[in-house]
Amino acid sequence: MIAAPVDGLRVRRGTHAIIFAIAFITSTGTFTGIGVAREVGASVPVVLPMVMLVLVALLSCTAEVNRERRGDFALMRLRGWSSLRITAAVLAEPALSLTGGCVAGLVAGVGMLPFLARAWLPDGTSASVGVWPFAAVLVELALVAAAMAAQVVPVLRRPMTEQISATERPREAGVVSTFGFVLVFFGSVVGVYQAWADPGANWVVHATSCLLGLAAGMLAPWLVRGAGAWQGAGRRDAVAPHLAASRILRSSGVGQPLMVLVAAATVSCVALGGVLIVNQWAGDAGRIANGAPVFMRYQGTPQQALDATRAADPDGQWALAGATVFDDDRPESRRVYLDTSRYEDVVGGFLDTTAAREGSHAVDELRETSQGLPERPVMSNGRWTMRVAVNESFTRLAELTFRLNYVGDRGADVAFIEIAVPPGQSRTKSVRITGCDDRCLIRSLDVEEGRPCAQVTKDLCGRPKLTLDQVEAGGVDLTSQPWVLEGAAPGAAGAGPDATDAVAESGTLNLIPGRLEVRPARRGQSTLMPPTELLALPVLAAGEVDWGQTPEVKTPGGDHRPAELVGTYAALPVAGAGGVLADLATALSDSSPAVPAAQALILARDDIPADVMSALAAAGAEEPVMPDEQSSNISAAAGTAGVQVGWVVAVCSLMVGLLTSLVYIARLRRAHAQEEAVLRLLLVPTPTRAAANRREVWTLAFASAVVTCAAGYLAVVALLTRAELVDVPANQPALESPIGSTSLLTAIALVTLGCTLAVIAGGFLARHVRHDEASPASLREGTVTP
Amino acid sequence: MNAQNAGASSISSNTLTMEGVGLDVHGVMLLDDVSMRFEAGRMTAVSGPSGSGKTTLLSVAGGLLKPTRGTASLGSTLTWQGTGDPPPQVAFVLQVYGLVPVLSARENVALALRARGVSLDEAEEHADEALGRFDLTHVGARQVEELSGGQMQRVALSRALVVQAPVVLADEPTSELDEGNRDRVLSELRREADLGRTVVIATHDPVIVQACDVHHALDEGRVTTFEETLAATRQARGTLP
Ligand SMILES: Nc1ncnc2c1ncn2[C@@H]1O[C@H](COP(=O)(O)OP(=O)(O)OP(=O)(O)O)[C@@H](O)[C@H]1O
Ligand SMILES: [Mg+2]
Repeated sequence: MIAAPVDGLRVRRGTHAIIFAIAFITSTGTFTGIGVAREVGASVPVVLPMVMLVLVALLSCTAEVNRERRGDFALMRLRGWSSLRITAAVLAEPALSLTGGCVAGLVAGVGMLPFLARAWLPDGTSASVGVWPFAAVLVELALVAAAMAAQVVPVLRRPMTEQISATERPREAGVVSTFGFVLVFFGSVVGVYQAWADPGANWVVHATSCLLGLAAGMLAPWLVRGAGAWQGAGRRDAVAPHLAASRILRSSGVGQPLMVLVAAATVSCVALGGVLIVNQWAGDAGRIANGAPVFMRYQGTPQQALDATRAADPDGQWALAGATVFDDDRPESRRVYLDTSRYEDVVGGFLDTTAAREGSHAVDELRETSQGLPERPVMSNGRWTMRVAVNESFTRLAELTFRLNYVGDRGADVAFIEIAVPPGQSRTKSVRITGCDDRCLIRSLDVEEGRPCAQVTKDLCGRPKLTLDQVEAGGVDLTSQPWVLEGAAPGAAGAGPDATDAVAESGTLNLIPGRLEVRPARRGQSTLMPPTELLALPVLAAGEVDWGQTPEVKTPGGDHRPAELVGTYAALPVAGAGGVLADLATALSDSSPAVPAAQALILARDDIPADVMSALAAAGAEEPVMPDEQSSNISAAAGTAGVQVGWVVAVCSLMVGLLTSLVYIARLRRAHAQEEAVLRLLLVPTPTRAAANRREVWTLAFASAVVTCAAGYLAVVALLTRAELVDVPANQPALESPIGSTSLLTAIALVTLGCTLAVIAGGFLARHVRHDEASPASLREGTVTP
Repeated sequence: MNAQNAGASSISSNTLTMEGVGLDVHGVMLLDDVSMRFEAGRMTAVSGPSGSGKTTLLSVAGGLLKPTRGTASLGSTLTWQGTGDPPPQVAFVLQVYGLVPVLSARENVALALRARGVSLDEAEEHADEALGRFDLTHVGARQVEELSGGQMQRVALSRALVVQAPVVLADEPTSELDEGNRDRVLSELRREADLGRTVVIATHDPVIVQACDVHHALDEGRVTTFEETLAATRQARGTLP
């Protein structure tokens, strides 16, 4: 019982070696793929298209075995064997090679799993050999066995005359294959529809990729024929093109291998496209997070980082300082400050390939806007002198307190002047201003009179009208500054004596050359501020920033400043897809000392000279971080390890496609040797025969390149762009898979190239017969042509 | 149409001679000391039981196989050209037909002419003519895969005759044919012989043997009988179409 199948294995060793190899590759692929995917909780269906493809591939291989054995089957039937016995005999032979391949594949899978796990899983996770991968391989084997059993039916039913005849005539498509054809087309249409209706249903995407490939593969022979007709069109008078066209148009030999090959290519395109696009996304996200080729945390304040870069790299070619304050995950709480004056030189086009391209280009606009801010008067150490007059009609002694808020050496600082002025008189007072060794910027001037007013006595709270005609602080004449009254209704500044109640409520301010006329608000205090356009901090924003009523941004010191929004972009350097970016120097120029949460940093080019680097390190720069490191952190957070299984699927599918074609190449080669012998008998010249072969192979290659490329493109557009490949972490750029992306085009191009080369190699392999193999004398009995 | 008439000028140069031909394949003597002359203008039958070496003999005679001993020559030149391809003066009708499956019947016939440099239009015209000789005009456009065995055999005959080669080697050309068609084939081959061509037919059909002028019988690679059936044939010819 076992001797016959073993004999069969020996006789048909070529085909069985291929079945063995396919079973081996698939079970290794399934085992390792599921092993890795389950370990990271990734979507297991990623191996689904491979399993479906293998089912088709193995079935066409066993069909080929059955074809070769059809004489044997006829004999069995003539001998009157029972159906059961014939079935056993039909299945035993391929079952041996199949099971052998599966077992060997499992052993290899168990051996390979740890290596793949080490390569793809985040550090610290190791894949353990669980029961699932075994179960998956067993299910696969069972599916193939069931489908093979179905192949016995035609063996038992086929007309005996056909089975015993040495010449095999082309058969009409049976009901089953027509049904399969319709099923595949219908299935792929439904799958594509489903993928669009319900994006993120990954298993639909995976399953449909194989169906779509098969559908394209089934159409491929027509395209090949079209190409054949096209290359032979109008060339009937030349023998070689005519022969090549006839072979392509009329031979049925390439349909099956082409179908499997195209399906394999499509599955590979989707799987490989998925891997590449996720890896590109992680790479881009890493670049964006890094902001520049080199990223260094800095031990010190942002101001120190700024000083350090300016000292170590005075020309601003290599390094720029920055700071981040990430309070929480809301974009408005993620603030990044960069020294924009050096951005162009240090970062340049580093982010041009990423989602932060526009954002990165906008940094230059941010720099211009920041540098174009109106100059604010700079106060130095000295005296603050005030002369205040109170209006005559005021009924009591005005008890005044002035507070000058400024930012200087000690950060936010304040100076007081307290002064009591009777109605109709004026008084002068002066205090020392300190903490402005470097320079000070005036933030605001508070004017307070009397006591705070309680709600009940509100109507009794009249406030005096003050005239400040001499206000000088640290060399700045404050009467000539453009002040606005904080919280006042617009127009309040110019309000006359017949001011409305509302105006009295919020106070008034008149700017008259040489003096300021202020009436504090009824509650007792008013604040004079520089106008918003002087204070505003220009920012770029990324993501859905919730600005509230008016755009406002905090400095590294945590001071609120009005924000001037230069633009909103998909992503910004360092900030990612959610956050705001401001110029560091501008933000620091009027800021309290940086809050503890502020992380100073330095961005640098990767060709930064060693001496600059060591100067920065000496000043407090930490170890350089490269974009790759950021990428792998982001990858780990996004769980991209499961996607890497796509490599297994892509490689295994392509190999299965190629191996399946090999089965047919053996047959095509035999047929070709005979045809070649006939042509030699007819004295068709060698160059003509060679030209016909070349034309045929190139046409096939061209057609299969077109089909593969089109099917891959279609599958990627229709399916991959609808898949949810990873969970994008907060504030990371979205994983978009536009069809124009280099990753997808690379995947399609690689797979198309691989398949086309395979067709060319396979074609020439099938066409390349030894001279004596194709000698006319070999055309004898038993090798009947056709 | 020059190439195809090569060698037709001189009758004696169309005589195919085998002298002491022996063929040894893997130590088995397929042909053993075979000497024969196939003369121009005559129809020669080579008969023998299955496996006796008829196909092998025609292959050696037509230059497809190199004899291990002795020579096969056409006129004064050896038919073995060193490549296994036949010389242009020889046209074969193979026992296995040897048709190109992806071509139609007409294209198969025309291909033999086009391989010899005949233009497409001329080749197709002659191909139709040749198919007509075997009553195949109606299947000319069909792909040969779709033809019956007998039809394929007649396509192979049309293809051999269309090139008008001085030597025609036909290996069991009537094995699949009914009587009517067999007679038709015989008369067509006779016409070729009458045009001065050398016609050799391998067969085990006594009717064919009788229709030929000369008869060689083979057994296990050796010549067992040689007879001139000329007289008998001349009589018989009156009854043949
Ligand atoms: N390439 C070969 N190698 C070895 N033996 C061969 C080869 N070709 C033919 N033979 C053997 O040579 C002998 C003669 O074969 P051949 O085909 O010439 O016989 P035949 O007379 O044409 O038979 P049939 O009437 O069946 O066609 C046979 O025994 C055959 O097995
Ligand atoms: Mg024979």
